[in-house]
Amino acid sequence: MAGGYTGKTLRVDLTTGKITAEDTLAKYKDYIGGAGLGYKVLWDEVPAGTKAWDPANRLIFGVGPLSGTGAPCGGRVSVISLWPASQFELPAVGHMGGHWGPELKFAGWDSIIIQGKANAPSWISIQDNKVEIRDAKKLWGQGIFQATAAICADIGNDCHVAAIGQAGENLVRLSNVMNDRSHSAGGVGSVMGSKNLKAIGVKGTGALKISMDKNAWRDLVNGYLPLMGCNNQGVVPSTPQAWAEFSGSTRWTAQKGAFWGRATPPFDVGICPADDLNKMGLRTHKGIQDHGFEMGVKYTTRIGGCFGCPIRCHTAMDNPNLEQFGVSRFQTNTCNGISHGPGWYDPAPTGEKLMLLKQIGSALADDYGWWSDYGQSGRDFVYMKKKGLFEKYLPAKEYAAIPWKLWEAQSPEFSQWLYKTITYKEGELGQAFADGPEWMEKRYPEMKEAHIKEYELQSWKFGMAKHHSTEASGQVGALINLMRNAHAQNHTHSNFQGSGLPIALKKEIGAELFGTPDAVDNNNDVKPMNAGKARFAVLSMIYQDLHDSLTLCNWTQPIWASPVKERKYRGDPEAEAKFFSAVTGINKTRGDLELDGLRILTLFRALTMRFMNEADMRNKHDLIPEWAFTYPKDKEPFTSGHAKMDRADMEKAKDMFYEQLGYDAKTGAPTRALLEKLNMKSVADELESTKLLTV
Amino acid sequence: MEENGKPSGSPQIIEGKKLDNEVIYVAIADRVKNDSTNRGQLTSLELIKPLMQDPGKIQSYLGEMMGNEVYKDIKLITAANGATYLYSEKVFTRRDAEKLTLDEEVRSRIINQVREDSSKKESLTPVNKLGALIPGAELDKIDSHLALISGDERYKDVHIITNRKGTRYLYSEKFLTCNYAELLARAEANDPVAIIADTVRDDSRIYPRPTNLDMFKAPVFKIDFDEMGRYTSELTKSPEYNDIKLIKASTGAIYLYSDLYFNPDLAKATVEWEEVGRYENP
Repeated sequence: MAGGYTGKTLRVDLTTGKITAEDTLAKYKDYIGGAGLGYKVLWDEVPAGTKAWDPANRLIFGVGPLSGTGAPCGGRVSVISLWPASQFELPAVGHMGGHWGPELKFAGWDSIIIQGKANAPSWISIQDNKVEIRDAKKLWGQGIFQATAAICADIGNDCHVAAIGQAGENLVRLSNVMNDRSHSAGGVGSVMGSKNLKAIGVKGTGALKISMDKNAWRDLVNGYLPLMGCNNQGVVPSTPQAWAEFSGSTRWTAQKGAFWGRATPPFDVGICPADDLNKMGLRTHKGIQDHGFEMGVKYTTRIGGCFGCPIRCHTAMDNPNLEQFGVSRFQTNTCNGISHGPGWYDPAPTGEKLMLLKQIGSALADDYGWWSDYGQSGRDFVYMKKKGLFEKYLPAKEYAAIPWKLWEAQSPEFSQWLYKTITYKEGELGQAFADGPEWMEKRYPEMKEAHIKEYELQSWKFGMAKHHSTEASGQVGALINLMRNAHAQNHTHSNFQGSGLPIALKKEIGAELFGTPDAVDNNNDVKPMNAGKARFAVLSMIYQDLHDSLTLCNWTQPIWASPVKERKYRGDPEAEAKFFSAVTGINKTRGDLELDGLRILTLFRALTMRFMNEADMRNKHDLIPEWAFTYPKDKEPFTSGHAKMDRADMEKAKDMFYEQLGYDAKTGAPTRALLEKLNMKSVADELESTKLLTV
Repeated sequence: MEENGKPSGSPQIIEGKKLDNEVIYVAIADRVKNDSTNRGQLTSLELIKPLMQDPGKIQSYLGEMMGNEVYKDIKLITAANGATYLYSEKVFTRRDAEKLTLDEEVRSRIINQVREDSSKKESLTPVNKLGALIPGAELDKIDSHLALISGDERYKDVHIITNRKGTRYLYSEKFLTCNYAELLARAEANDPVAIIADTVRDDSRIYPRPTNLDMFKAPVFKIDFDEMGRYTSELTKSPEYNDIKLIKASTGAIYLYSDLYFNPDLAKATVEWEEVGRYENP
């Protein structure tokens, strides 16, 4: 048995109640685990025409071989399904951190495949080999916090619970599943809800085998840790510090006076030099990163994170002002998980009001199990308000009943009203925002046009949010965004670009990784497309899928750059292959693993083609919004100060991107030659039989 | 004598070859003779340790070596601070060697002070204060000491930096990076306008990025931030700094950049990214 794997994948059929175990490696070895395993399940088992809420849809909680082993940042879970928020209900991946994934491994399971639909609200209890479908009638209708507490009271406080809230139960398309208080997998909550599945509680008492000799393993991990930076792999501090040659706007926000102000007593994280590994977890004062210095210091209790992560990026905060609104003063989350709250308001809130709206938004969303889609809903709301679309589309009575005065006052009470309205799909507004931005395009034609044309909406295609697109590496960011079925959620390229190193060093390292220093531009100073940029985009896609399959954290990896001056700030691009080989005992080079990543990405592509019933991915799926070519209005592409793209250049970018992937330039679809090279002949055969394979 | 193309006395052990003691003695002797003859200096035991397979046995090696007639000119001498050196009697008398140990002691005290200042106080050591640090030192020999320090591999972490006023400082790169030492040296010039301008120019050239005015609150700059309005006003009016431009973000935050390296459009876009964009794109 390969190390890292438990060897068993759990299958739960909620319709029949049948619970079985499958051989993980026999079926899924070529796809590693995590997202790769999930895509393979969808490919093998879910036919074209299936919709996200059909019982025949699968929901896969995919954990990879590195998760739970102690490999740094190996604590994540990929949750794969047909995506309800997608207007085509295409396959996509939510990911969550926390401890749930490793706990599943300790219980003896590599992944869980859920199919069918329970005839009554249920939850799944996994205690090592003992797996049961349990009655969830008393949990149904409760928020995530209460449901989690109830399950912990049932099977023990040492369990870890992945649960949906009322949003998932009510088939809000923008809903999530959460574990360990603040770790959410976006977009998949209503799939669970459609299956009458409230939660999965896991308790594991086993251990994982690591193939490598333990001393060698220790040396491997200890050799890797010094190469890590801060959250999002910044490798320089954010202020000038004696130990650092460079500084920049990274998330290495530790400095003298950077207090966890609400800790008892308040704790100054101080200077955290790169060579002090005991202070790795203090480098990112995420409160400062997310909320600014003053607010971050004022409200932070501590910084937490996921299993196996030395970096830590979830801010636990204490704001007594929240209690007057009936929510706990203690809130924890990170990034957009906490910043969506103020996004509903215009003008943008500031100061204490901003903090309050962030924290109450997080409190509500995390309990209801609502997912922000990277803030797209808030932007849509503000746009619709500005353009009078609520007056146009809402029934007059409904519009009049909306507490607009609270909105104008930027009151948390409006947030309370709004999140509840969406969670319970109340009225036209509730239903529209429950369905989310993509479905809104079908509902309100103006929004479809606005998503495509208006830069302020930050939407990429089909209504989904952009995520580190043209503003993060120009054409590279654009290519990464156009290929996915939900907001791209890829940090590989943006981490490298945002490492904080001077441009000369980034270009040097870029030349080594992508073949030319011209692969790397300054932000907002985009130069014409070249093969190096295509390589940069391809590797970013591949490594995202690898991380989602190994299950490692894409926010901290790959380590292409490092804080180590003696290494000339180079990281270790071989790291994933080293860890995979060490853990599993299956020796793979970097090239081998990248081929696996290409296989996983290509299967995702084939799935998209199947569920879109489309061969011409290039022109029908891989879309670029109009605003990318028109904003800012008064600037020309390839001049400084913006990220406006050039149409001909982006067509060239697609050509180069497809070429490097091995896809057909005309359609952007994988070719038979590539599929067979990747040991995916059966995929080629099926695509051909359904007239989706043209080359 | 050369080994593998490397000059004899070089502290490079011949890799992969088991060295017998004789080879080590020859290497030590060559080193000592070279230092005595060509550099006019004693040889610290620290410098000959790398020549040995087992530096822990240095006393044993030297004891054997000194008993060998072939190396009778190689002598040991211990300084008042306990440090031990070797010299060639063919070049130096005992008295000469004693004088040289005094010089070694001076340099050792300089180095210790520099390393302490760099590590514990994160500060530079002014060259013009070295005399005060070392009572009885001959002030006109400071520069020759500094020259010998810069050529001594024991002290390769110690560097000299000069600020725009021509004031020289020492620092140890074991504890302060070169760029940080540069910032400290600028601050010592006590010319806030120049500090701001030089830092902004560096940021614009190296990264490139505009510089947030708030960055100058960092203690390293020693700037009275309450006076920043006056400094930026002087800066933007001075012909010497006419490349330095001020730009305000939509958040109200103020940045500076050098138009030698940044055009206004790129500066504006970068500033907006720093203040707004990166928070909207977490």
